[in-house]
Amino acid sequence: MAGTVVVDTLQADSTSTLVLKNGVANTPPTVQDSAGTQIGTFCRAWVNFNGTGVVAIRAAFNVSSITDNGTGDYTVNFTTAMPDANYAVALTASAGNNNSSLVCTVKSATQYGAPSNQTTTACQIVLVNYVNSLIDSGAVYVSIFR
Amino acid sequence: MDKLIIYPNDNGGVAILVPTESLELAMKDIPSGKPYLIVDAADIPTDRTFRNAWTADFTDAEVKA
Repeated sequence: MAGTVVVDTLQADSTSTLVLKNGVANTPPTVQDSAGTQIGTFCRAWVNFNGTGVVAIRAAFNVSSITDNGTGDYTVNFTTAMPDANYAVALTASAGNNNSSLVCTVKSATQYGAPSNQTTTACQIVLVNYVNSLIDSGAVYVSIFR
Repeated sequence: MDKLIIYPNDNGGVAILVPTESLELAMKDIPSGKPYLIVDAADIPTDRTFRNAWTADFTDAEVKA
């Protein structure tokens, strides 16, 4: 049933979690201003994991697994696929306590090329230190927006 | 997770699949055509000094359809 409900606050009772449920499959609700212009969207997937030792996932949403491909090289696999591969990846990681530089990128098949290792089902990322060597990080954070 | 999935990567090394929720859900993330093994997390080395040189025996492994 289509329609508009005008309220100031949406609040679940003390025993429930508030749920926003869209009527279209694999499409999250959007945030609009008073003019009906879309001004925001929700995070499609995120993960916080330890990339050292035996890789360990601390917390995640819509991530089925992390593939440890090698030193500083990981793939984030999605539980529910993205609608296309044109999503944005917000990516960072801890560089430790010695102010070392750390570059976090989506892995590409060609230098400075389009992020070709970004598909609807997974996104491969690499961490590189100041001498251009792959390096592990104890705290890797990845967020996906579309 | 107590159990992890390993399979050979395209560089001659070993990829390690770490499930978020369940092993069953993570099975879809094994590339098709790759042999794979389910292993105990405790069997994975924690010293990653030569991580890219790790190898494993996939002789008797199942192959992902």
